[in-house]
Amino acid sequence: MHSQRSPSLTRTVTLLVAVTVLSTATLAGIFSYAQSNHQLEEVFDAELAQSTRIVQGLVRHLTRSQSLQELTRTLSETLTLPAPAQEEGEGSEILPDGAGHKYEKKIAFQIWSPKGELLLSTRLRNQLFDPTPGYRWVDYQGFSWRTYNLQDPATGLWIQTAQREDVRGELSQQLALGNTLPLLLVLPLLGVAIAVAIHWGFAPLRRLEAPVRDMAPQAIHPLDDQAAPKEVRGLVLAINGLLQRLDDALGRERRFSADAAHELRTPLAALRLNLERICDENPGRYDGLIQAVDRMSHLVEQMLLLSRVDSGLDFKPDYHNLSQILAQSIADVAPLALKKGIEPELLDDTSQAIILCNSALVSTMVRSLLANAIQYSPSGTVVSTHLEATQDGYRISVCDQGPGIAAEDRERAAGRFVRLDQRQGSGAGLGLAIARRVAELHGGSLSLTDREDGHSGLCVVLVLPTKSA
Amino acid sequence: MRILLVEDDHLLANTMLGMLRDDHNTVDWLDDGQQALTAITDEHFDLAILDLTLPRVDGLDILKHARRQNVATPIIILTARSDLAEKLQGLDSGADDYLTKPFAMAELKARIRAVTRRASGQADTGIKVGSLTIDPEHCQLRLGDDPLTLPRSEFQILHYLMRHPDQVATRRRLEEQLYGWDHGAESNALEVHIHHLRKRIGKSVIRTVRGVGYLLDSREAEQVGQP
Repeated sequence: MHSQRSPSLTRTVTLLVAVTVLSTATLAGIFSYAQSNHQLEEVFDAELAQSTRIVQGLVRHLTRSQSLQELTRTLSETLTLPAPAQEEGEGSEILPDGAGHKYEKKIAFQIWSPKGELLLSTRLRNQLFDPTPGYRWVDYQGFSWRTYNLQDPATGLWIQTAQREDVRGELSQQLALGNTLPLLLVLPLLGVAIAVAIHWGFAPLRRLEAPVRDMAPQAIHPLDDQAAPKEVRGLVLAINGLLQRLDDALGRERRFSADAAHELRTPLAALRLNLERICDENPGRYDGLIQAVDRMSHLVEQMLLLSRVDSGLDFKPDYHNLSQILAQSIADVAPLALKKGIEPELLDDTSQAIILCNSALVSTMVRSLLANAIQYSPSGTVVSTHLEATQDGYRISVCDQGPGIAAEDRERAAGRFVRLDQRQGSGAGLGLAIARRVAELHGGSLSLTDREDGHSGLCVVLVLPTKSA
Repeated sequence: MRILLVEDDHLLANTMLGMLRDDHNTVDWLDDGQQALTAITDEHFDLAILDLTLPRVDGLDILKHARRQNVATPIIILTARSDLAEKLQGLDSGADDYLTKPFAMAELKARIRAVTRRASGQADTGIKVGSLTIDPEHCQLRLGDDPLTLPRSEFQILHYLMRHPDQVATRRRLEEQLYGWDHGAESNALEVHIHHLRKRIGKSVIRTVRGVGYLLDSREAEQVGQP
């Protein structure tokens, strides 16, 4: 049932949705980026061709009225770039005072005669004349240039315009990023939103947990399958079936304990009374029989008690004064101790030891521990019960001055039907097991230790929280 | 004494019948709840011993019904269940005492004596433990033959201890006897009373269980007043 890493539905769904959404969005981003780049290339190429045609128009017009020298000068004047100071300027790309546009400068052109003499050139000093029309990539001065060649059919002049690739690239990247960046920024927010939405969506599942967690074995009730989400309604119905069967089984166990008690005790009562009669008639002859019956009765009591505390069915805690429970428990067993010459005592360091507990069980537990201590103590010793407050509860230690239990045997001693020395005592070997179980029912613990004063003897230490877990 | 025994286990019932009859009682036995209900309301018994688990009508129902009909017969319930709630329910429903199976006959007889004595209105007269006798009407203690009038508090403590000889009475129990639930007495008042009592009847008769309470030792009480 326990896998090392139990799968979380919320996590799985969140992860799946997030991965799907993020990868789709990333693909869309990449596609949009590529598309923008491509479209811009087209626009730039078209622009380049347009510029070439404008230069062509100008050149054709001007060659009619001016010499080539004049033409060169005129073109230089009109087409040369604005002030170089602006060249690397950031900010607005439209230059101040309507001077033009920042990106203008990066467009260059040259004009050759039909024979291949360079007549005019801006920026480019490309002596390599290539008289083929159309677009080409040219490397010059460490940059890659996009060029467009055109021969004016009227004058026979070759006109070439060129644009630096890095400028085009910068522009197209900025534009493409401008398209995809918002998407990238929104993605993390989207991820968080998905996680929150799924967590919220799974809330009904978590709400199902609480009633099961808080359900006491004596108050089993079905879960509300109408309130359960459709997806888990089948599961809830199955759990309800299981709860019903569990309740039936617990009910049977409860009845069994009660019935077994009755069925065992009544014949034992008859047996004991009959033996008493025989013993009265034959004094001294059958004393062992009555002892045997008493021991068997005790065993039956202990087993029934253990089965009751095991099931936890009678566990209905209430607020009680632990000092009073201890005093009364010691008072109950004191006559037995005094008869054996053992002196019981209570050292109560608390004033008002109020604790949430089942008083009958706690009192049974303490009496059981005291009975143990009395059984194994020699005459003339003290069985001391000490009650102290701890940080979140109380510590009860029952210490005797008997032979004690060797450290290695202590864990075993609290087992069931364990009597370390069969020759001693007449118990059933269940006392410590019952006491430990009662302590656990109260969210506490039981342990066996040495006496703190270094004398021989055993201390049974009970720790009980103020409020049972 | 006429006793009604209601017990559905024949083996146990027959044994009890024999033993109760040995003590010169007249004992009628029923093993059915319905019959017991009729018998207890229609006839007079000095005592009824009632098992709680019975066919047809439950022991507790018989008890409640009988008390509603103002049947004053002392009733001791026998129960095979050890859980306290049921015992308390039995006592609340009007039982005079209860006994958990299995039990010793001596214990049943002691309960019968106590219950019938209480019923006949002599509950508080002349309790005797060893050589100690007390008379509640006059707050008097007699040690052998000497009558001695005790202060009220001392008397109440001794009275309680003598009603429960050889059992430990917790300090709280004794304080409740003295002051009721809302006692505001100084904490060592009880010790002072015990101290005085010990001076009167001998130190060893009242034993201290440290941190818990006091016990009247019946064997020591035998020795009191003797030279």
